[in-house]
Amino acid sequence: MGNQKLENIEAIAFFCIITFNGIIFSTSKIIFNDSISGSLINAVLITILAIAIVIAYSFLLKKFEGKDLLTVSDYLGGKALRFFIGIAFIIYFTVRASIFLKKISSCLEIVYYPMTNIIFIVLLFIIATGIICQFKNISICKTAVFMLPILFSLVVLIFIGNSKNFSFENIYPILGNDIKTTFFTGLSNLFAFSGIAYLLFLPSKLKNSKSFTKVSLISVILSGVFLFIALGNILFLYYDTIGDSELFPLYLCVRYIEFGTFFQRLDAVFLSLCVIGAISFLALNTYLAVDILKNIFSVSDNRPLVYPYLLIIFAVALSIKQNSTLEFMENMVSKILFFTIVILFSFAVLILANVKKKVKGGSNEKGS
Amino acid sequence: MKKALKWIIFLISIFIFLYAFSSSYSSESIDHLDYVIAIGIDSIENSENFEYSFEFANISSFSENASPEDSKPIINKVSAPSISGAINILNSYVGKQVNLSHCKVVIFSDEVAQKGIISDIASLMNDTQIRPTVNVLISEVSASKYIEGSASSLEKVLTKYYDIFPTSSEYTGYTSNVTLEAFYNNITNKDIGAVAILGRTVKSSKQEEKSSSDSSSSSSSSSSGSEEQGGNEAQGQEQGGEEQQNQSQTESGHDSPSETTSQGQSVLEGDRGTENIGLCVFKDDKDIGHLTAMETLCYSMLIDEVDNFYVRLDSPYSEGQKIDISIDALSSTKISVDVAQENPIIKIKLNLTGETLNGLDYLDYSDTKVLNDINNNLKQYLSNEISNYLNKTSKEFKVDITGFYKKARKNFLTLKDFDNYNWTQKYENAEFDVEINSDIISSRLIQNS
Repeated sequence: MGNQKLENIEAIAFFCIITFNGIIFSTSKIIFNDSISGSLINAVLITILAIAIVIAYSFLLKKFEGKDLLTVSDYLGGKALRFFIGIAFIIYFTVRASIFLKKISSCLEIVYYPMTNIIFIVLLFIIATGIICQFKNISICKTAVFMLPILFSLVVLIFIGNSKNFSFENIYPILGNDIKTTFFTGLSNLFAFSGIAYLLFLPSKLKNSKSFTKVSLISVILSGVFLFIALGNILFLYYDTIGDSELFPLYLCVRYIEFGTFFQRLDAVFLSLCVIGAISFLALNTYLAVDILKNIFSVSDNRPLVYPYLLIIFAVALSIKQNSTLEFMENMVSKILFFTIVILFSFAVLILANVKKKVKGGSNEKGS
Repeated sequence: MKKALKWIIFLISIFIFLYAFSSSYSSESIDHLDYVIAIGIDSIENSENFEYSFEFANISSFSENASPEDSKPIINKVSAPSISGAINILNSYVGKQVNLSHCKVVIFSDEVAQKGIISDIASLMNDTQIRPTVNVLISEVSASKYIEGSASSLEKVLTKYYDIFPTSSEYTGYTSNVTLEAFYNNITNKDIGAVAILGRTVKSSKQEEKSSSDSSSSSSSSSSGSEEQGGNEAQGQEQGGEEQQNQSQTESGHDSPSETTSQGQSVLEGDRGTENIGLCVFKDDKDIGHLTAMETLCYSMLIDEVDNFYVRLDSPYSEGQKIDISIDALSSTKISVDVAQENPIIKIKLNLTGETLNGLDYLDYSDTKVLNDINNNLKQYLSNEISNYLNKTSKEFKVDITGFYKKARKNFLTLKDFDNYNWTQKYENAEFDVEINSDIISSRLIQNS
């Protein structure tokens, strides 16, 4: 896996593929079950919050142009802090990828492979990801660029295809369950923008590091629009919570689509595109996690780290046996990790690094 | 050496995956599946079990050279406590695996529906093979009888018939395209009632032939009776006698297609042994009553399902003379709910346009006054029918099947506020204000009589 610099479009696709997949497979359901008719307002709110966060990141990284969070951590607290931050993010990435892998494998098992042990389905994804990760990073990102419009148009097509089944009155009562859930506790749904975690490692990988703000803003806005359309699809079809269905809500929405009697089973097409999107997500996730591992352990070649890392994802995904555990991991563990590692740790590191820089003064010191 | 090792690992992986996925492939292979196109559920006397009837697709009937024998439905019946149990038993009986992915309709007998059907509906909803667009039908006769009667030489491919018949709601309004997903959502929603398609058997000409061979005299008498009834139905063919027609007139003096089907008696006779007119009303998961064809038409108008329909009115100038009118909706029905008062006030505004279909020699359709008089008659007729329907749902059934609660929710900021309002209880005392803007624009006559 090489380490070529990324074009802006590749960086945007990187962020969006991570977020889009999360929205398709889990976060849209969590947001809808939380806010119900207030989902769209909640989506707008968390998009605004996500925009504010990436603007804050851009501001805090201004003095560390072209540096990612690991380099900034190294500047702030030396190798120990770099190691700690790196491991913390790898844990987050591993948990996200494992939950994601388990979700899509379970869905495929239920719908198409009822007689096949889930181990083999998970293993197929792992092997596919492993093979992709042997290619250069630019190939992985170019695949993401290819998948980005497909996933986006897919969700738009679902919206159009389902429009005759929609009940637009489902947006009432406009504030959803209650004001507290939509406006306060609902802000925790910010974790739908899980791509923010990956964004912090992108500055050093960009060809033009000055365009970080532009890249992050476009990515968040695109993801916000995607989230809005995905939630609209679900909300206009379902008046109430989806409950604890093991199948993801957009798949359930696709099952309604019928274009006359000729095109009736579009769910198979949807699921096959989701599988490609999922492999793209896993490859990007693995690429970044292995890159962090390479940096914190100062390894020259990161390729040997790919399969051990994937083996960990494989083990964690299979260790989740019950659906309730998966729900807990999605709803609680994933959220907590996002807010502590992605938001709290990163802001603490960036703010303190800026303070240190201001106190020490000058821009000629090591690490700047 | 390294290359050889890679190849060995690659080949081993291929074999492992072939082995792992072959079982799913075998079980899902088209050769190993039997496709169910309809499921019927009946109760069994003095038993906690139900009788499940599975109708299978007869592939040979799709052929152009198929004989009439081929078009006969293949029906297997199983007695089991639940649908999952029935499928299990059937799997062992038919050899191949039963697959529900081409199932088009689920039929419950009225008797089963009155006891509650949530358990079977929930099982079907959780079956990934079943599509959410499958229709739910309640049969006034046993579900197995309904399935047996559904075959017709007119449409040899039965799946096509099951696919198409609910769409007649768009141009008749006498039924509704009720899907499994919508039905499930409604029976699990405390604020709304559910409806299902109502089906019954008709006097089939096949049965007629059979009975005529047994007794020619009894056959001829029953046949003529049916013809008379048929004359009062939908298309206004006055085949029936005057006496019969008078009987079916509504209180307002209008000949309504609903009345003949309201008592669970069919007005049709034909090659197919079943008809689908009217709706079955559910509160929670229990069948609490039926809607006649006219009430179903009112329901269809209010939910904007019917595009075009037909009514028959008294002539404003001559007693006993009738005018057929084809009606289209100019715009979607406007509904608003005012919750500021003690009881909700539901305002309904329909915007319709119509064309007369039959000419009467003393009526000059180019005269504005004539059109206005017919128009006023139409408004009064539809207002009465819609009010009757609304009063029946609120006062008799005590359940909002039209979905006014969605409009009522606009008045609340949060779901908690709406829950506290207690819509179900308030709906019983709801007041309705029906306003019809109709405009008879012309006659569609090629030649006036």
